[in-house]
Amino acid sequence: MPSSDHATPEELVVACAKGDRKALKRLYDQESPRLFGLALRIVRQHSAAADAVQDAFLQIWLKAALFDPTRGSARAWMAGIVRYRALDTVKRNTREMLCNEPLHPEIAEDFDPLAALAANDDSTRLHACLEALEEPKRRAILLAFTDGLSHSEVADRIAAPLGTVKAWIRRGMISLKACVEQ
Amino acid sequence: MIPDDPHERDVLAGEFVLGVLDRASSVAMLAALEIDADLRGRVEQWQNRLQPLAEAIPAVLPPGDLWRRIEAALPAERPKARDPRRATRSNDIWLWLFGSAAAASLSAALAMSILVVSPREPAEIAVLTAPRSLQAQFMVERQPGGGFVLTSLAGSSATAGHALELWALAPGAHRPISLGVIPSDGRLVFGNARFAPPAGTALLISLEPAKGSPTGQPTGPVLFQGQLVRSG
Repeated sequence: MPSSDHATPEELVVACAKGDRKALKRLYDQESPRLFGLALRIVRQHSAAADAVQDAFLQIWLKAALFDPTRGSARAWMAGIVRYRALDTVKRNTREMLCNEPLHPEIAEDFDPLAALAANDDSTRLHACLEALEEPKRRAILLAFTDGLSHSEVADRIAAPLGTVKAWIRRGMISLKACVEQ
Repeated sequence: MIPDDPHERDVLAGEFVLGVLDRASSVAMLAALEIDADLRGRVEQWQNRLQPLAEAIPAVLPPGDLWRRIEAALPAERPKARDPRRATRSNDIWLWLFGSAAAASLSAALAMSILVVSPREPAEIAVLTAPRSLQAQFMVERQPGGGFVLTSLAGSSATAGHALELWALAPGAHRPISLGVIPSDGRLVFGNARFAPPAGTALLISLEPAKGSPTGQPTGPVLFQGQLVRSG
């Protein structure tokens, strides 16, 4: 049954599409810490992250019928919704505005996405491909994805010229795609 | 400009998923995604490629009252049952995600109207761009009371002695119908509550003589186009 303890995220999203609120609650129980972590890392502020996740879950409920399990995982679908909402929050407000509130203490400044990726058996390919990138390209791409930084923010963060950072990210993404698809 | 070269399109899609584009480029990209299925596919592929990285980010417990807030925000009735054929259309999710997100980016007021409307009736929206351009020029949106409104986003206007005319071309139809000549302020209200163009209807803006097309069909070049998208 969709709302049972062993339902997959895909089954739960499909159940949401049929109006099963318990399925949405189960989805929330299972997935909200991961999604909240994703949003918090980008918006870096507790209440803004909560708003992004709240909005995302409302969208998940309303749009569940549009989820197609044959096109990808429910987690990727939900992560896309949450990430987009969080990135839009950051782009709408300037980061300075958001930074007026203290950073959430659970955001580890020394978080190493590559090490975290290595710990996951399902992501060995992406990990290997990121490792194969030259250091500045890898660093720029990881900062952009995990912290939601724009080109210019990445440039500020790693003290490199904007044009150089754009080129690193561009060439890095091209290499990454070629590698992952090998 | 959205590039033609597949390689360049892939890079752009990757940068969009990564989140490095500035806000203006993101909004322009969203507009392009509404009318460009190939680009949507590329964005989707990038999301799948990078998903392990999203999963690697440490989970953090959300505030204790967040579920109650979500529950309180849910619409009272069940989501409307949808035609299952629509649910299997691969592009629907992108149309929704980026359709409504594009709207939210373009105007806070518009975003509010979509949020308010969506639980009860689907929001309907189109973003019109010049062919192969990223710049959103016009937006069409269903008004809460019925009917549609077209608004100019970039101040495009017809050259002296000419007018811009708005047309709807239903999927499979061969001849567009005129929705009216666009006034100089770029705002045109058309249709009523019963006017229900099918999803996927193309909206076109052509350059016409000052009083509009004399033939009932576009006589000048199509300058801008977009596709009507339902977000509910």
